[in-house]
Amino acid sequence: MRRYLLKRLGAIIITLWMLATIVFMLVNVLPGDVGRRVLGPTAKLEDVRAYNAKLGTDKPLIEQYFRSIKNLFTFDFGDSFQSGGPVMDLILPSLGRSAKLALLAFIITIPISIAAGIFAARRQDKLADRVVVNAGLASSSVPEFVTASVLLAVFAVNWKVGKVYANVPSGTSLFGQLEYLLLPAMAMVISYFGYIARMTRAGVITALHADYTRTATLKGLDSGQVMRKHVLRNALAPTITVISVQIGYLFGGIIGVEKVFNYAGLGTLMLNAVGKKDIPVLQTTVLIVGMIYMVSTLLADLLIAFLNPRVRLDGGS
Amino acid sequence: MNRSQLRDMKSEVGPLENDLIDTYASGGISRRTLLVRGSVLGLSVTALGSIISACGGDDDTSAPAVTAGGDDAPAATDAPVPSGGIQQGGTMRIASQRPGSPLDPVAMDNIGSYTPVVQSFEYLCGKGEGAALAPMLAESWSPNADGSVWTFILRQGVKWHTGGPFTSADVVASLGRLAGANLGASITPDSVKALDDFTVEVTLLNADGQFPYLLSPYNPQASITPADYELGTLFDQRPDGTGAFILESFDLATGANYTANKDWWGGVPYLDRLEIVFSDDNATQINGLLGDQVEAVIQFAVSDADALFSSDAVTVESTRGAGHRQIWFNVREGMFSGDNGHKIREAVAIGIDRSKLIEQVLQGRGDIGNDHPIAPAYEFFDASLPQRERDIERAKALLEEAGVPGLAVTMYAPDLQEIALLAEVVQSQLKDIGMDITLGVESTATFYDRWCLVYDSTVEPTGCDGGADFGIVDYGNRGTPDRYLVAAYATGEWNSAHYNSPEFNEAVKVYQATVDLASRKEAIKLVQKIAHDDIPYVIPYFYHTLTAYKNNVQGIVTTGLGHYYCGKAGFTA
Amino acid sequence: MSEIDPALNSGNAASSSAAAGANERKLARKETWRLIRRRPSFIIGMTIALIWVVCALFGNLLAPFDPLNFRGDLNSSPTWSHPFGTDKGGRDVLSRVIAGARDVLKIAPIAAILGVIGGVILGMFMGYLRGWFDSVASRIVESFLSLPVVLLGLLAVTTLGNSNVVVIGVVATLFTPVVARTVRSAVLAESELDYVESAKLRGESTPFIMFREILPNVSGPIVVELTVRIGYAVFTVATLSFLGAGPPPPSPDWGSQVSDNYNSIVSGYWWSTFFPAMAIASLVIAVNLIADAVQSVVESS
Repeated sequence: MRRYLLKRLGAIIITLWMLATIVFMLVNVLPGDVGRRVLGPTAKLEDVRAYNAKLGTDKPLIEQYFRSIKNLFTFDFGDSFQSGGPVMDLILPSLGRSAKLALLAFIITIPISIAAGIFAARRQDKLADRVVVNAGLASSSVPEFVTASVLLAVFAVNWKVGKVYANVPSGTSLFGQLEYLLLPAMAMVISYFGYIARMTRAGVITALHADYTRTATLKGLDSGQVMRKHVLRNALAPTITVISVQIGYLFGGIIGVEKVFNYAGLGTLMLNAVGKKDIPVLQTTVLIVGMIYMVSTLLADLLIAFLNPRVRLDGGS
Repeated sequence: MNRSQLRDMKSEVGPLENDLIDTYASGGISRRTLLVRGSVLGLSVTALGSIISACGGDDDTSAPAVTAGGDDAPAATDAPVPSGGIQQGGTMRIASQRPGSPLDPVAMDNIGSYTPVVQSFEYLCGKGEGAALAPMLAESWSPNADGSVWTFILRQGVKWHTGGPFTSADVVASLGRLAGANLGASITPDSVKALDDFTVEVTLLNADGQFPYLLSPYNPQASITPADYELGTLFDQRPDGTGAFILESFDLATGANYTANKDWWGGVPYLDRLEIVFSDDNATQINGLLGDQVEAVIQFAVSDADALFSSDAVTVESTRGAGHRQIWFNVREGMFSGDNGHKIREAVAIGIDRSKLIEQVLQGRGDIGNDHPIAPAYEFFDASLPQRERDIERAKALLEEAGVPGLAVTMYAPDLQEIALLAEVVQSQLKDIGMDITLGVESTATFYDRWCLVYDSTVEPTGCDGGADFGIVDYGNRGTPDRYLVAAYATGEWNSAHYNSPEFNEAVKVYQATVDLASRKEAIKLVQKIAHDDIPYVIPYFYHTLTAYKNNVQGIVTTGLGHYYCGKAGFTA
Repeated sequence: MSEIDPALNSGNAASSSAAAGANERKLARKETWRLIRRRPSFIIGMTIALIWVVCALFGNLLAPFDPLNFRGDLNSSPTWSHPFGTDKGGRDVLSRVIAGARDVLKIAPIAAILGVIGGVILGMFMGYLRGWFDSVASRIVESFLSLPVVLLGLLAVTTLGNSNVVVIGVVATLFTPVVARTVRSAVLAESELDYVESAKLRGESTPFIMFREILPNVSGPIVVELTVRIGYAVFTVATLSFLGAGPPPPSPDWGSQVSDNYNSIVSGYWWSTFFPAMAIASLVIAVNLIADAVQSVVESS
């Protein structure tokens, strides 16, 4: 177990380093001179040069690369090219907002979709099953920005339920925050419900037909016990993996929903950083999203092993 | 007409003012024009009032002035007069475009930047009624005989937010900074002298009868900042202004919050707090207003706003002005330069259908453009220049002559307000003359690089350099066309066409030096004609600016350029 | 946009008919194809997809109006002459939806196929060679998987401009690591089997073993992966266009249409958003239905 964890953590660090390298290469392809971009078109050449010297963006690329990697591993993320302030001052609020929204979306999605999946699996090929399967397929086939726009128009504007600007003003009570976050969260719920429900359903059906389930039923356990002790433990593994993958995407990939609700999450931050060639912000944000993704997949693997001790962690990938 | 009263007035003012009074007295200009011109020359509202009454009062045969009240606008349009019903207190939330560049008060150049900055930083001259100017940090100003030296008397008792007194030293330093930036064509750092603590004298490089406009919101970069303010300091790093609101927090991701400045020279603001909420598209701003999350939207495009027009909880103000879009061509080099280039430019100019554009892109809310930046709303607009009309056959023939029938080219445009739609309709119209246009519609965060900037760290910038050969760019409303003429057409920093015509520059100089309306009207003829004939830019229309607020909001002052002044704004019961 | 690790479903599906000869395989493939064709989800999915293919091929004949031409009333609600209404520029929405099929069907399948080809090659090498190559490639794959999808798209479009080629390249690049991971695990399982061992003993070259011996036996998961990827490609392209990084305007691309018009929903003009949105959804559903059919047949055989 300990060896396994060390191995995984080592892999995570190497992956993060590669991620940092990929981002560095990508952003340095972006056209434009940082100092010129920040100071504007009419700034004097000497000022631009001084600014670049201050930031270190006048150094050879290879030197900049080593410096940026060194800084990352010493947790010195540097200053934003745009605001001039520390990168973390920009990222942390956005990260907090993204986390809040993702959390709310998950709290709603997971119970509903797992329940729906189990419900459908136990009525395989009956009407109820068809309804869940097809509703899931349909809901996950509509792009989330479409769902978001419809929710916004119908609820926030027409019925004045929920908010158009989803950014929560500071000092809002926990319950008050729901009013801001519920609509964007619902757009995400609708998009992800289908995947998780269908995955749960498939897992449960496989488990229901497995030998150990049959044995347990023959031993005379009632169906509730069979479900809890045998079916779910085995059936939820793929579901948990899917959820863990989604967490990474929820943090970095819901930019469509963020855009519609003008939510200042990590997606929007990255979008703006691309436009402004704000490399420190871009690099750090991508690393954080990558880290979230990798940690959540690691936790998922641990959870699966915990639920089903027959799964050997050290084997395979 | 009360001649003795008029004579008394005339003895107190200079020749420029005298000329204006004479023109008005002889019926040469309307009352509205007198108010606008008089305000520029520094005549007080009281003085202008007595001129009018001396000449026999309110017999206005209103010529179209810059802000003729729009079709939807009640009389409340841009009147800074607080109506009686405004109550003390409250928080106003305003939806704004997200600032497109860091908020440097001296270098900011997009509509998202102006409102956040001007709550705290003010100008020497403010916005009066219509296109007129009003006192702001300067209480009064006056020119010398030919408009080449201007004297500004500063307001006394004004305090910076951090407590220090505002004096002529601040103005001298601010104008000195601007001399190295966008006032470079008018002044040098040595042109500005403090005569005493509250008097400043500015000697211009060239006479300019409209100079105060360059120190007003119509030249948004001309903020007055503390004497020791460093060039390049961002607004939120040092929001130490003199304005009605004090910056409390600023976050580019969400917005800016302000508290009222109880020591404001204009009196205690009605509002306790002001919140400016940023977003990247008009839709969010409009939805926010309809969804009760903001009380006002600074500016929006008509194509997204049908819901606002039909809402009875919202007042929409439509203001005629000089805001326009320029379709630029690089006339210095490349396919649009030289004789052949001129043929292509003309083909584009007569290939588009301007009235269709106004109808389809603006839903009728605009004035037709004639490829020069002088809007029909200006009082000195010369209507005698023949309007360019669509002529598909001739456009095709011109392309043929230029040797490029079926020309294929990329046109860049920002994704801002109605511009993306304009680009698409232009593309579709020019298909009729055989042009094959690829569109590069980009977010405002990246577009302005295409427009005219080039980020080469090894080259000293000379204003607009490099950039794309062909595209559409936005220009907001201004009280005078001077910034358009100097920055975009002369060798200024926004000259994306790289247009350089000594003949045109001379015409602009003559126009700028004019002081009375008749000669100004005469001078503008040539300016219009050269721009129209040379076609560095096709200007299809002048749009009406739209702003909207809840029915219980009153007292907001707008410029049509993207400013919202809230010092006298508040809520009625 | 969301991703599901297809390895979960298909990783163990590498057929156990290990040493099956070529003929046997051909027969089995025929049988699989017959089973797939009989599934109702396949029939429905294929019908919808074919409708869009027809629109893509013959759009200019089918569309009642010029999809790019501004004319007529702005924002007119659906009528007999404009069954899907008109948009804010007065363009016929039906014609634009029909014409939009071409963009998406040009981009999505090509991107998916390129991504799958890239993924198969990479995954084969990773799974078969193992060792340091696998370790290094796995880390790279892993880092690409944790890179936010949209970010890569936006970076590429900002740098290279938004042409169809760039969009295809971006989507294919994003898919390569995902596919590689699936193929890798299938190949890992496969290369343990006897027939690979005996091929090695016979002295066959590595490329021969990989592409002639193993590849046919992992074709099941690859086909599943391809169908699933086409669905995702439609989705990804739509998302990129919504964020302004899709095919350049005035392409009637569905994602761009939604992004141009979703502002108008509040004004009551739902049709200019609804119909292109439904077009995206119907194509994604169709592809997913086909993928479902393929997957369940491949996995049960």
